[in-house]
Amino acid sequence: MKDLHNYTSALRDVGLDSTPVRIENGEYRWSNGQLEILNQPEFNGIRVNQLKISQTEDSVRDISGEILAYETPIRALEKEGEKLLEKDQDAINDQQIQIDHYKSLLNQLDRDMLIRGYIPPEESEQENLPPPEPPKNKKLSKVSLREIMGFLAIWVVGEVFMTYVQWNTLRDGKGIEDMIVRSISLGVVLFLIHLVGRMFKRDRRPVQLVFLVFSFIMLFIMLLAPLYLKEAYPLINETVQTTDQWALDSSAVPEVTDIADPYPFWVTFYRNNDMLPGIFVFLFFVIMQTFGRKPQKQAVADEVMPDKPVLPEFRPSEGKNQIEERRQYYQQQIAQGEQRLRKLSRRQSDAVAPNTERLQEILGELTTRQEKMISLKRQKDDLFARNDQLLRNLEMQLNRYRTEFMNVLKNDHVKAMVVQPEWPGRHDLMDYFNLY
Amino acid sequence: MLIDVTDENLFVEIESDLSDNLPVFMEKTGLAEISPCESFTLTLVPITAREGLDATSKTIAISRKGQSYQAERQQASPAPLVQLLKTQLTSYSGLTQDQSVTSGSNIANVMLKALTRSSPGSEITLIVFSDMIENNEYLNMYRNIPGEDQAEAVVNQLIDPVVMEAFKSRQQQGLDASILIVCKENQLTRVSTNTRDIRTFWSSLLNEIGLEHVQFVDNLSNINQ
Repeated sequence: MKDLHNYTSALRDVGLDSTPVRIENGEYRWSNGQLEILNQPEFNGIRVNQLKISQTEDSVRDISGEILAYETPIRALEKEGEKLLEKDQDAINDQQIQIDHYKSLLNQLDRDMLIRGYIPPEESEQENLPPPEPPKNKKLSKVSLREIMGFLAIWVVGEVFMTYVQWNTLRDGKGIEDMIVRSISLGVVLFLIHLVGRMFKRDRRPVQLVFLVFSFIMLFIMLLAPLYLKEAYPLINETVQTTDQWALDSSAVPEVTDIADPYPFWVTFYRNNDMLPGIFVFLFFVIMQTFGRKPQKQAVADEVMPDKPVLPEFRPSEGKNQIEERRQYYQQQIAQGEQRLRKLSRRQSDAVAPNTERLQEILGELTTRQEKMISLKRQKDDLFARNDQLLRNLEMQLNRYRTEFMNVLKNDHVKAMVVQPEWPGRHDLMDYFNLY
Repeated sequence: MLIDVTDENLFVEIESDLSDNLPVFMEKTGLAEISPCESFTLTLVPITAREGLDATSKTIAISRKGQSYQAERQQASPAPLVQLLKTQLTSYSGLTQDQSVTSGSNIANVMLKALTRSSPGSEITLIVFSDMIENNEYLNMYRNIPGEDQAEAVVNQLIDPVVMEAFKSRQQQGLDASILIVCKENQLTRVSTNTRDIRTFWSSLLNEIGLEHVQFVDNLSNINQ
């Protein structure tokens, strides 16, 4: 049926001079019969597929853009991670060097002892060794319990002694509560002097020196002022005797309660508020600690690492098996070092963990997009293949039409001499369907 | 402190004794020396011919423990008491001119009334400045000083039963007192009295009513510590 239809079309086209030709600008002009073939519904799919291909390409382009956009955060995270890794890496390296050093010392010791005929104990015996003590926090180890107790002892003795010495002087003008307050005030001053003295040895900040000078002045005022005031401005009724108090005709002895304050203002003020130096010192300390610049903190690694990888020397005790002690010492150092190393590694991993998590999230996103892109590309290839098949079918039909057209033209000798039809190639078909 | 104001000369002598010897007396006895949370009350009562008890009091106290010595001294200062004494002596001096006051004396009743007024739990010292000569409708010691054996009869006669009952009730509650009688011998009075008999009589009478700590002195400086 198709061949008949092609023949009819060709006959009509020849009769109507609808000849397929290529015009001047290279554009191909289809004959009516060819156009009928091209516009058959079965070939509409070519355009539809082409539209789908365009859409797929757009989607692929969008996804590529998204993938590229992830590049910046990935690089930033990578850099940050590298920095975090570098942060503890020196400490880890130092620790590793220390462990290697002790291992080599241990091996050397074993070799030396083997040469001398000493066989080291079995591993099982070594396992029975007590587990090495975990390294203490540096801050705690800095201030030992003994030191704290020593300070407290000095403080208590000083406090008791000072209070005892001044008791009689102060008790005259002060109640027990006032004495306790004053004693606490003195104790605070002593404590802060001791504390800041320690801090000054470590930090050497000028403000600490000023604080110490100020505190000592306040301390001396607290210690000496009551003694001075007692001599210079004795309390009036200290000297009044019972006999004078009961004298009926004695107008010279004033009533105690009616005595106007005969002391200078500052004497009365100090007597009533002699805890003030302690308060001043405390305030100074608070201000100094609140607003003063703190010395830069050492690297975090210092908290668990010695300041420098200086290896402590082994000191054997007398009267014991020195070789075994030395072995145990090396083993202990190795075990401690490995523990510290594990801790550092754990901290390193912990430090980069957030980055790793984020990177994994991004990787997941990228994988999803990549899979989507592959799927789209497959879809596109499929569409291309379908179009290719349709074009092949189309070419076959056009070829059939060509055969019929040439047969018809051959029978018409006049036209055959004038008309020279051009036959389309694949590119002409692609131009017709706007394929690219 | 009971002060006899029934005789002007006697009062002058009492006033002179107080003025001269009270400081020494207080120092020797330590009577008004108080510790934290303790108080001391001085009550002044004139001995007159009247029945009523005209008492005036002043208290000093150290309110709490743990105060400064200075504050304790201020609170324990006897100045308010001395002031009260001065004021009252001036007032009593005026009374000695009053005929209704000086027409007789009612020493035993006044003593018991004053004691009845005291708190049973407290430490009580009753100081009586007087010549200790009762002169009222029941007993006139200018004429006759009862003997030791008459003490019981005199008590029943001399002391108001109501007062005695109140006193006994107080005694049952634990009232006890030290009695110091500064027994003055009035040199200027026209009537001569036997001081020894007077002291014996009062000692018997006070023992009869249950007051055993009785001491007689002729002036404050002679007090035994």
